[in-house]
Amino acid sequence: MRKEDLAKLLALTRAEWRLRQQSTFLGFLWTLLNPALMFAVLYGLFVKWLGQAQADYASFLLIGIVQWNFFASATSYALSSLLRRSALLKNYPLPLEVPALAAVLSVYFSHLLELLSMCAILVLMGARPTPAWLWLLPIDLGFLLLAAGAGLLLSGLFAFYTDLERIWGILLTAGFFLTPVFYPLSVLTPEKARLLAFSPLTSVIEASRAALLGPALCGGVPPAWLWGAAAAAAGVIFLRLKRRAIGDIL
Amino acid sequence: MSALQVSGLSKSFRVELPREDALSALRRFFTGRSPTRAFDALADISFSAEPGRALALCGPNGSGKTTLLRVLAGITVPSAGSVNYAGKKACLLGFASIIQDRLSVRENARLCSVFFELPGSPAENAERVMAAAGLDHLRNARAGELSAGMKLRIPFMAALTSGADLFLIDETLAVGDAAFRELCLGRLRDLKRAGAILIFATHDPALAAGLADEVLLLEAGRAAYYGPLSGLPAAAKEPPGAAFSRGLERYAILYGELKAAGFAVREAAPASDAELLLAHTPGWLARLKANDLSPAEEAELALPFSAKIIPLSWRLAGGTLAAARQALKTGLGVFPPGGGHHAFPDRGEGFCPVNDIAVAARALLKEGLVKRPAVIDLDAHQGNGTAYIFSGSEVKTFSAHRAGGYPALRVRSAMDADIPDGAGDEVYLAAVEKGVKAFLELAKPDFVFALCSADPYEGDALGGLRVSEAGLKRRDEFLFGELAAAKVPVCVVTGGAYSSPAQAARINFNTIAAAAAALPAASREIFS
Repeated sequence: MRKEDLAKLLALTRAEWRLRQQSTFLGFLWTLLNPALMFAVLYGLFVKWLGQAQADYASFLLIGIVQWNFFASATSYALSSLLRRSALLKNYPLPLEVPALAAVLSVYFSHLLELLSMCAILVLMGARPTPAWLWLLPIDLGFLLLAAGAGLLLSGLFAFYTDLERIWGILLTAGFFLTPVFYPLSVLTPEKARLLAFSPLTSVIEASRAALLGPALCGGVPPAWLWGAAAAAAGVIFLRLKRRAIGDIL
Repeated sequence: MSALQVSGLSKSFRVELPREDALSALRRFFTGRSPTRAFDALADISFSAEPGRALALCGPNGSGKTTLLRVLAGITVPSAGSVNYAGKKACLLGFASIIQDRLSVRENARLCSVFFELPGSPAENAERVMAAAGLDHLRNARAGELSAGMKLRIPFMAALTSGADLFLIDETLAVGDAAFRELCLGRLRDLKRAGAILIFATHDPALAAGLADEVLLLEAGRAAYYGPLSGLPAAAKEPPGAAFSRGLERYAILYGELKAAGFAVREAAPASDAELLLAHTPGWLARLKANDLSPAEEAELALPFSAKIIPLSWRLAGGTLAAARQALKTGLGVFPPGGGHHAFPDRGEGFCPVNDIAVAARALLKEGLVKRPAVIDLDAHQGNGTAYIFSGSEVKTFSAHRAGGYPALRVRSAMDADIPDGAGDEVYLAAVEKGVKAFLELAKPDFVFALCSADPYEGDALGGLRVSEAGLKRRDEFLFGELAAAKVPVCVVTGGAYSSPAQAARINFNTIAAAAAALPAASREIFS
């Protein structure tokens, strides 16, 4: 990507973020309200059962929800980004990657604020910040790469298959239950736990919990980056290969 | 600074066709897409432009001007050919797409300064752009609160200060008020003197003459002329909307001839908003009322003086509706100015701000006065708006038009007859007669809206079908004879005519006389 295109990406990210915040009355507070409500509901429903299997279930659940929420929001927002920005793409020379990445980055910026709020809440709940918390940065960057790759791929596919928006909604619902967001892997049979561990989302969420709640492990970083790099490469290659066809459809 | 070299550029698209047969409906259900056909937007375009030169792209709507600019900008990938240019480009194409209505003027100026790659800090550039656009005092206002003209100043000034060597401009030189337009044109002339290349699409020959060194005239994606402005064909030199103005001049002559022949001419009441909403979106109606059209929309309508024309939209729809009601009573109703067949629910095209036929047909259906109305469109240009509005509905549409003419992107009617360019009497009449017979058999209408235009006439500037006056008389006698035999009431409108006013009035008179002769018991009252 040229230096000028990078500047356009950042400018569009800024515009996207401002548009997202201004589109609702309470702006950023709404983005916090969504995970907070989800947390309240899941905690109320499952604390009695899963609280026995998982120590400090509230912190465990909060991390899972914040991380899951970023992936679901970023990919859903990126999915329609090319069509949403089709007028711009038809009138300005702009790489197809820019609108999709701007969508993911605008959600990521909100996510960073959520992470800060989450860390403050963890401290209020009695957690002690340790140097291991810094592992969250490389883990989260790998996670960003993963969401960006998925977003690029979905945005390109959506130009051809308009039903993808509904299908992705269904897949995200299934993914929420097949990822240890609100339950620990230990409540599953070892076979099922091993199967779910293959998911990149599982490795990111488990690594985030390990960094913040201990035991501090850097083992979650390589899988997050590997998955992220693979997804990003797939997304970029797909958009480059289909550039002409997508341009004609838009 | 380098020269721009374009050789053998071609671009083909696949365009979707609406179809209503069961197989296509199933395919659309499973794939979300309709069948497609190939559409050649550009074919073998070559030209060059040296630094300090300006090239005007001229031609009717849909002729390929915007596609060519997009290919030159590197936005659209050509199917064949090459563009060689090494300098910095500034694309002034669809301005509105970059402006975010919910963001402030300052945020938009910042965004534009980045998109047009202004050197330096975005914040400082935003200040410079706002000052140049004269919007400094509105920095914190939301862009959505500005008028269309004021909004467009932001990207325009950002582009002009970008330091580009090649400017690609799509019919947006009419930005804002007269003073701002002059300022922009002055800046463009300065840039040209400094060695910049200007490539701009325009419908305005005066603008082309004032700014361009050469002209590339496009017709249906092909280069019809490339050279100095002095060699441009006469029809292409007319100012935008001139053909439409000429068409309007015929009505005074026509009404005089009709009165002399014993017809009564009565002014119809304008349609109500509720009636127009039967075929148009509230958003489009609100914009028509506020006369808030962007330069691009005015270009789409081919009416640069839209402020004078648009208020007539309500009268246009009211006239066709009054004629339709009269046809139900007496068998024949006539409203000569009707026939806005290029208007879509949410936009106007090709001289047509509203689709009066669609409004009238929907009104009659709503009142239960008709069950199977049909539209027989014998204008030289395909009735794309009417076909779109009634696609898949109980109203069947037939359009017999020039195969290679306007509009380039068409919407399939229930039945279409593509008549070869320059067909002449025999080919034209054979196609119309065959098509009308087959269509009446298919649609079995209980009411017909007949758009019997004079533009297939051989002297018409935009028709291109080369039919004689006698040929058009035979067409009308055949059509009204068929409808009279089937006892189908008919509402006659005459739509576009771009020959001399006297000639067009004579052909329209012949049409009305043919209808009255075929339906002798009908009223001899004409709506104006």
